[in-house]
Amino acid sequence: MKDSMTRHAGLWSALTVAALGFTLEVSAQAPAESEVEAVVTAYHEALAAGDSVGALALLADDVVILESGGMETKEHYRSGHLAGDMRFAQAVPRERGAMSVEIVGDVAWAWSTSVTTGRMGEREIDAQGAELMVLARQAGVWRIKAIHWSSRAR
Amino acid sequence: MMPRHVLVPLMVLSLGCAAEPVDTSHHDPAMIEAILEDVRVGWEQGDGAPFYEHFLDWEGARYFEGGGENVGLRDLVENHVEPEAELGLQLDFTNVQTHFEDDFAWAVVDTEIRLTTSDGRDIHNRGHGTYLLRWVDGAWKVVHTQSGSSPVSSEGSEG
Repeated sequence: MKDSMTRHAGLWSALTVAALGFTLEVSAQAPAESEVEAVVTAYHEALAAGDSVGALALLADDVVILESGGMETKEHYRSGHLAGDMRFAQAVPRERGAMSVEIVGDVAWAWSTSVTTGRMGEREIDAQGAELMVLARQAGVWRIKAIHWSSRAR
Repeated sequence: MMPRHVLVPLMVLSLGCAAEPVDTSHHDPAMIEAILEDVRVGWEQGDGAPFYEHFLDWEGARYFEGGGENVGLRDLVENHVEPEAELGLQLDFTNVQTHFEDDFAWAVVDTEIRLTTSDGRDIHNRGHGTYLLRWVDGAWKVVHTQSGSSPVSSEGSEG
């Protein structure tokens, strides 16, 4: 009898812990916007630091990247525009406006505008741009699934 | 051996979780492509109707082109769609790629734009568009767009 009660106590403890975990997960939704913003910010910081490994780690394997040129997969981006984006981020200061984040379940999108002024080689840059990122959360981790950068001269 | 009065509720609980069906019947690229075609024609004809039908006019909605933005659906239609159509806009969407995550979808497209500005300049640009959509009340609704293009003749496009 005592043995049975002990087992039941263990079972209910496990259920309580599981329920608590669920509650914590639900309440953790509140700062999800901050988590998304942190991922986007970390991505830009990695570019500016020339940290290609750090930047790529934030991209989902099936990410689609739209910027100058065509649609790029992660593999194309790794061997293509990534190096140029890091050089650009290091050479030309970018002043970002407020970031907006919307979340639907385990998907989020974040957008912001920015002003970029400076010199890249022989080129004077004075542009205003818009950035859109789509992120998905898997196993509690946000990864970037799509990026769209567009800009125009000011 | 776990007592029956504990085991049965646990089985019911786990069955309840496992039996939760995930409906993905709305993960149909053709539905998204049909919306994009309506929107494309709306752009060319300066017709706001497809936008009011397919866009979710929610507070905070933003539609970006290049580095500029329209705030809200009415701003998009009256200050962007209608004036651009008057310039003889021809718009093509190709290479539409759709992605689904539960009740959320996004589509990326290649765009090609031709128009003549009011001062007579011919514009021929290529670029990209991104459309984000939510499944709301049995229909996909556009919640955000971004597009950008640059002259076909120049390098270093800003798409």
